[in-house]
Amino acid sequence: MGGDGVLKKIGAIFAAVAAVAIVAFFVWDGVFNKTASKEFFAMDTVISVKITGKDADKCVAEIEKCVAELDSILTRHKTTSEISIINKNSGGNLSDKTAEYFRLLLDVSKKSGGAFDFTLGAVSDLWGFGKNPVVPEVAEIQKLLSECGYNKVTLSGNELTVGGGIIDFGAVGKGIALDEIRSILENAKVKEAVISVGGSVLLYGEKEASVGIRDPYGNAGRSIATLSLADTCISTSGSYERCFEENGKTYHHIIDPKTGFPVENELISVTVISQNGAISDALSTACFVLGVEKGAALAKEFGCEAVFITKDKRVYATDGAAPKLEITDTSYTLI
Amino acid sequence: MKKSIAFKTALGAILCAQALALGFLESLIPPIPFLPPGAKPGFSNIVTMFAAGSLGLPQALAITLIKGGFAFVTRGFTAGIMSLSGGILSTLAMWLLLKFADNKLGLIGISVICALCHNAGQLGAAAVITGSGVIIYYAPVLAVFGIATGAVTGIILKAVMPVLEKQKQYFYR
Amino acid sequence: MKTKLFRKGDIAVILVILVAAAAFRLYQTKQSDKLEAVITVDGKTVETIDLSAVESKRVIELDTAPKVVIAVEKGAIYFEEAECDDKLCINCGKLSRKGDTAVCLPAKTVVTVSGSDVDVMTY
Repeated sequence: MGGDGVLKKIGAIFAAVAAVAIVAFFVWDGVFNKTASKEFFAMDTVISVKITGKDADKCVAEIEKCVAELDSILTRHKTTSEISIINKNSGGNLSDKTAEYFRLLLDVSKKSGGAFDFTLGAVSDLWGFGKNPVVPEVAEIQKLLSECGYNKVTLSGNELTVGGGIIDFGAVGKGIALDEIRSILENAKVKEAVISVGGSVLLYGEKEASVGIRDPYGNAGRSIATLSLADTCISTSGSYERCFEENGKTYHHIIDPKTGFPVENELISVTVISQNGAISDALSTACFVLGVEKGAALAKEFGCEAVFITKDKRVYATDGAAPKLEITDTSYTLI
Repeated sequence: MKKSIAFKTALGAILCAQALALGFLESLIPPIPFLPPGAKPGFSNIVTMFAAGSLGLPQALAITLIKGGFAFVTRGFTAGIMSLSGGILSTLAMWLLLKFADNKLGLIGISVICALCHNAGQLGAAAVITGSGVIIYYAPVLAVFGIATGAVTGIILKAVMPVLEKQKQYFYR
Repeated sequence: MKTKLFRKGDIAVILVILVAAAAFRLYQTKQSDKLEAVITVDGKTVETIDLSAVESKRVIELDTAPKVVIAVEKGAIYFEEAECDDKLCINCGKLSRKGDTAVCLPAKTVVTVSGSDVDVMTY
């Protein structure tokens, strides 16, 4: 009878502990798996964030603030932005953070042999993409092209000298935003997050997410393939964005720095996967300009993966990307 | 005058009134966060459970049906269906458990099971009415809520048992 | 009625329910998603809305009895008006997260934010 009582007591304690544990699970689930999501407009684009974790709400607010700040640094629309001031003074002493981004972009420019060039602000202004696009005179383009070039930009320490051209971060602003957002998430109690800054994506945390690659010929919400990835950045450059038609010919917004005209090759979109958002943004543009073969080589040089989609619906994926890629639209074929 | 039909009916009517009064009091509670609006403690089960245990299945079912009819008249067709689907299922469960399992389970356990049956019946009816299974999403939270309210209902029942028994004696002399 | 208030079996009952609820909840959180709202009336899908793509607020008036008006805005969907008595659907508030659901039983209308096979788009 005595032994029986002890057993009963142990049983009761065990049951109580189990009950407390399960109730604790529900409380924990409510507190630490809190999800917050928000969609807002900034940097001329749509930004969507979805965060799971204790600090979810706090992070959403911080991200909004951070993106607004970044916009006021990178925009060329305002004369008071850091970029505008750099352009006005043809350089200047940069903050550590800005210097780091310049160093990174110069590296991509050099290694891509100028396929990526962030000094073409004047040329894209001439085209007027997004506002009142026109096909400019060839002579005008030639003149501007001869004036600019990443190779005229030097950075020693934090001291930047711009020897010509107008700095434009349009092709990498979204990626930079992703990097800044990542540092916010790293400093908070967040389990996972899915961030999209105008189609450039940051996946944070260990949980795998499926990223849809936009159908170049269909509407923006449709995907033709998915990438199953975790903890990385994904950027896509496609000739379907900001394009316009003149005299029966379509012009898109990705300018070949060699010609000053929109890139004309077999590609319709390039998606680059990189740990760094600025690099994935810059590389997606560079790879688009370079084409499949040279683009894949460049991605490899940076340790990044890429998916190329051609106008005739063929899909090329680098060795690291292929196993993660699933084509969902059967009219596209993986080569 | 032993257990005449008139006295049985009178007692049933009084229990009905008590169940309805509890239901009304409950409707004054504001919506509870995390729970689907409309989730309630179900205190009228105190009365139904007493009826099922002490008077038998017909009396308990009668109370449930009248409660459902009342909801039907005062709050509309869907409210009536919801009340009946949850009520009948939980009344059957409490009668069975009180009759056959009262040597294994206490009032708390039985009451918890009945609260869950009530939820299950309502979720099922809601799924049928809306033709969509998505409300099942609320099931786990409702279950945990049901444990709490079921336990409270059981404890209250035990506490008011002497009063209810005394009330019964007036009619079952 | 002489049933005891509490017996050991009660603990088992409560434990089993808690375990089942926890397991179900874990299973639910495993499901992945995209912010997409589905409106169904009487089980038939009336409209599917990508809440991320909504730019400005608009309302959807449903031809149900009683009548309900559903509002859609950036990242959220909710019942704005309902000609029923309890207004439970309106009390559900704004639905903006995976799994969020509002039901108007009298109008047989369910609004739910459900997942799609893609978490996010790159473009």
